[in-house]
Amino acid sequence: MASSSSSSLSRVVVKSSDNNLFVVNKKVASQSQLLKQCIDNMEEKGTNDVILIPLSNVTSNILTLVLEYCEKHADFADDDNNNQELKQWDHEFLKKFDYATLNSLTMAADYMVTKSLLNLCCQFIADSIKDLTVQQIRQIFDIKNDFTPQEEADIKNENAWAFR
Amino acid sequence: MEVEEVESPHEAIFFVLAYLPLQELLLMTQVSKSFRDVVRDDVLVWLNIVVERPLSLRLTNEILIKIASKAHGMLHSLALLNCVKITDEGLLNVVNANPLITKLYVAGCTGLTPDGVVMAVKTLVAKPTSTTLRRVKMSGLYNMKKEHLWTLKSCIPIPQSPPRRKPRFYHKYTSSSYSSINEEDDARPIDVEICPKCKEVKLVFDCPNEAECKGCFDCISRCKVCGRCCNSDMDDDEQGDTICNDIVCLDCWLRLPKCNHCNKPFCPQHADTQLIHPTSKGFICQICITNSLAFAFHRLD
Repeated sequence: MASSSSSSLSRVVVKSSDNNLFVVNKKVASQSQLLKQCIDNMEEKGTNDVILIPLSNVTSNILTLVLEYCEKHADFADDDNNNQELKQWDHEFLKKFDYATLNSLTMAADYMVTKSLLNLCCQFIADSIKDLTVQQIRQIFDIKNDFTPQEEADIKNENAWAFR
Repeated sequence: MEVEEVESPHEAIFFVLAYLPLQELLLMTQVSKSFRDVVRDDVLVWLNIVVERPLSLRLTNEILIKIASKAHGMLHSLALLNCVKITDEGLLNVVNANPLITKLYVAGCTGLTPDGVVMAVKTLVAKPTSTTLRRVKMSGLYNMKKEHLWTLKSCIPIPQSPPRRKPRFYHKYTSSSYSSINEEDDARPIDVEICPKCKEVKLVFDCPNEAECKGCFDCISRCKVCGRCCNSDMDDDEQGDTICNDIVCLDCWLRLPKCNHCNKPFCPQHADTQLIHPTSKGFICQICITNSLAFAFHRLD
């Protein structure tokens, strides 16, 4: 028993890009495949030390949010009966953020390989794009119109059937 | 000409493209060059094709074949909702070119015949591919017979440990929502089944109140708000009139906001689309507005 517990970590320390440290429970960290992979690798080596995982692409603001998500989903990992409640929570969770935060959260979810969060963010942004005009999309996502008038006319023409 | 290598501040939106329904995806091509090129050339964006209102009625076989060809044979799921112009031939063409389809949703595509869908499914199953067809939705097609259902069932593998059959409620069921293609909450491989009452092949709904109360909508009419049964032939008082003619039980009817003029409510689903700017003072429905205008013009004459 002692041998099995000696090679299994209960907590890891995650470092954000702005050098803040977060102590994370293993079950919570396992929601991210990136962190899980790190933990598994260390466990195979049989380290007893607390491991430090630096995340060079994620700021502490965003990391806090990702970990909040992971914590909630780790709580629900064992029972799928509360699926509906979790979905409700997911929605409320994302509703609070502006597009810039959602963008960073999506990129962090991709980087940390938290597939369910990536899925959730993308679906949420996709749903909010519905009913927007091209101008509004450019404005919200700060995208420059780099078409020449001819190109713009061509692309409109190409899919004219969809925008009658 | 200078080349800008500035990273887009919103790079996540490239991930989002794969989640957009067809019209929004095509709209994105007009946003900027980079989006146009990604949507045009990236196969990943086209793996799940969802066509719903308002494109459903405009989608022809030719456009479908053109759109599906962007997946280069890798199409993963195809959801055509109420695309009435699509015929058996068009569907078969797409299926032939895309052997990797795992989800085929053609609910409400009344231009298709059940024979055509069975043919498409058989074609998919016959291909020696690594993935298998897992889900078919085809409610709303005409002339579905039990034989079609049996054939489909023999083509679609039944999961080793089938998840417990979750009840399906009328008020929660939407065949036409984009998220339905990603969500697995309805665990049925085939959406239609044999109605225990009329024995026809239909969508069968459960009752939130009574376990015994199961049947298709033609056999048991249900409230659009709460899903409970309200059979008008038994007791006419149990349901209230709505503007959209959807059935709403009396309990729910009392709670819905109503037109100031005719005192009828919309069901919640239609209220979402019809009441763009509801005010605290309530609303007047389109029918009443039209009627009052007609009346005014009549007086002018």
